[in-house]
Amino acid sequence: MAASLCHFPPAVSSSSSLFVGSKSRSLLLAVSPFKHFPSKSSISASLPWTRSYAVSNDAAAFSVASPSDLRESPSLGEITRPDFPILRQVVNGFNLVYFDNAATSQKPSSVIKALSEYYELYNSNVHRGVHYLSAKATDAYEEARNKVANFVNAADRREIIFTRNATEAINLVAYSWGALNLRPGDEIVLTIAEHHSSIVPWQIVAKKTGAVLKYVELTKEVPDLDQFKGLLSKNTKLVVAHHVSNVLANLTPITFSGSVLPIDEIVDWSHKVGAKVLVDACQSVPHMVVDVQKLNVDFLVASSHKMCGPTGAGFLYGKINLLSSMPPFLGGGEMITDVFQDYSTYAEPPSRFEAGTPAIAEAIGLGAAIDYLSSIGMEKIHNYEKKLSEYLYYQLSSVPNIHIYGPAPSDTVHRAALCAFNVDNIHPTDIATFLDEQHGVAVRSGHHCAQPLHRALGVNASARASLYFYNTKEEVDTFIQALKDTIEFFTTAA
Amino acid sequence: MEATADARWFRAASRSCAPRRQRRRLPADFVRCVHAARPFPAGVDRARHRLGRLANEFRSLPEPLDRVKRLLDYASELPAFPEAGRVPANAVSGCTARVWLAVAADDGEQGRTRMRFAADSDSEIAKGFCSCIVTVLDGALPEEVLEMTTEDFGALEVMGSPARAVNSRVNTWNNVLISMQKRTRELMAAREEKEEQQEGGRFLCGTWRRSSSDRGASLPRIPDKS
Repeated sequence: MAASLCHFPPAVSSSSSLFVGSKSRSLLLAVSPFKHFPSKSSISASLPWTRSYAVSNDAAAFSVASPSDLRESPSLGEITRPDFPILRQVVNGFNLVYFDNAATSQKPSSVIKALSEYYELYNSNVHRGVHYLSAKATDAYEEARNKVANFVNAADRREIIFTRNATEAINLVAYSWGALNLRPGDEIVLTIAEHHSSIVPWQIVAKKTGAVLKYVELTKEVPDLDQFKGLLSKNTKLVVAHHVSNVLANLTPITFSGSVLPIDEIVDWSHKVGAKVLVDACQSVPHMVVDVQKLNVDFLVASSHKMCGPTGAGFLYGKINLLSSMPPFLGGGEMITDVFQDYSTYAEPPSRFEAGTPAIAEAIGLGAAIDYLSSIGMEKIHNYEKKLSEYLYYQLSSVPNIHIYGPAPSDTVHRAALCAFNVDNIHPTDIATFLDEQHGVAVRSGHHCAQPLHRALGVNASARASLYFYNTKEEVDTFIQALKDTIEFFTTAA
Repeated sequence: MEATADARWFRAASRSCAPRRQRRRLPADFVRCVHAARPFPAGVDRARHRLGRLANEFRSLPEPLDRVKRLLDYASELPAFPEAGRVPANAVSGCTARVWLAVAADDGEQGRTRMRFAADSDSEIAKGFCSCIVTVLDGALPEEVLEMTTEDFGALEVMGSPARAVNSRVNTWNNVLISMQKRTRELMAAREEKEEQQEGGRFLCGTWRRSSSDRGASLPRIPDKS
């Protein structure tokens, strides 16, 4: 296991003062030279701060109260890692370092337990039966909807539509609202940095309706705000914007001053020309407080699997007056009121847009994920990730011949905890493959479902390290060391 | 180079190549002629034999890092791919790296059609994969190409093992092999159609000649070329 010892991080530097508890002893929680992580009970027994809080699989009992004395507290990553069984494994002989959270997040035991309990104890179809199991399943499913509504501060629980994922949610808006409201010559404004799921449905619907897509280009690797304002006109019917870019990591903030693309202002400008606004919040809802009423967006989408929930679930938020005016997306059971031979009448939202048997377990799992995240606190998660993001960025910046895409963090520009990057003369796929095979570090390589963005950046692909609140500074150190080793290998082999 | 590469390009390049066993670094514009190293007994699947030798070569390297280095050696030995060949028709879809593949059918020796392949990538590891696949399948019979599977290359046990996540869209081995097979089928189908048309032309000529003197007779023989 000599190779695993290379995962011991270097000596604590002055930059680590941002991170509480970053001394070597806390590293036992995050990076172990041994094949098996210590069990939760041994962690609880051995560490002096464990008397200050309870670590439990039960999200309701989870508490992260910091000790009030002057002893150091572990970082949020160190505290939460034990809740994620998948993180305690060895990959290719190395402790797993999972830095692909923008693709999908890992699930805490409480979410896995919620899924198992549903199938073990009360699996039944919802909204239909009058028996005990059906009633219990229906209550749990609708309670999950309430949790989502509260999580994003929706005014009405009926404004939350469960979908398979954010992609389906965007397609719902495109094929329902878009098909009804778009006319030839109408314009849809999107940024060049949008995810394919925010582009392709609009291409399809624009072709059917005669609408036109207009793109906001980049300036200094962020969407050009001035160009955006110039694109808005009386012909603009819809603006599609990401809240956080999965490549550029730029936040479209609510109230930050001096930052790029303020989303509250985008909404304001868009509404003034009569346009609706759809926000892709896939990379923001999991990481920070998102308040749909404060944002005043018309539609907002997110995916469960990026926020500690299971795959197969996502949601669309839509203002109730909009949803009530929209025709169905998919037809079938559940979304009807009456069905006759030659016509049918439709249910009110949200049922109108939830045809067929829904992903019941997955929705309940999403509810459990929201419970877990809420028990930590989204402000706490966001603050921790801000520091982790800065540490990642500056450590990565120290790697020679590297280019990190998106704005540099500063007092006014906050990055998400992800970095898409390229190293001169080394293909990102080579980097990602070597990091995985030789170091057990999982990053993503490719276009990250943002081909127009990569063309605008002048590259075919990039590598991306994306973090979540259960990652640690020590893992960043491991990643940086592994990256340097990878670069040296390919540079020497050339 | 045309999207359906001219076999003469492959033939000209292969005349100058050195036998594999000499292991000296070949100039970039030469095609490896593994199949010319020694005569094969009749009935032996050359592609499978070459795959076996390649697998043994990689397996003889116990450390994963050494296998990666060997893979990069293979990448460096891949002949230069003409810039003109980097066209969309030659692009292998699905890979996270850009991969180009040129395919031709060569009627060289003994009148048997053999498939010729050339490939390139902007990723060194993907280039190494391409080099290995080309080493095995360049010069193989069409049926040898078509019966190979991605899992067969798992025997190499090298980084990015092809046996893992075969159906993943980023599995370069799978994408390149599927592309080779698809274009082999297309080339063979086009050839068969062309031969049928030529056969039909000769048939029609024969019919015209025969029918004028022997109306209502049985199917005419194809007239002698003389």
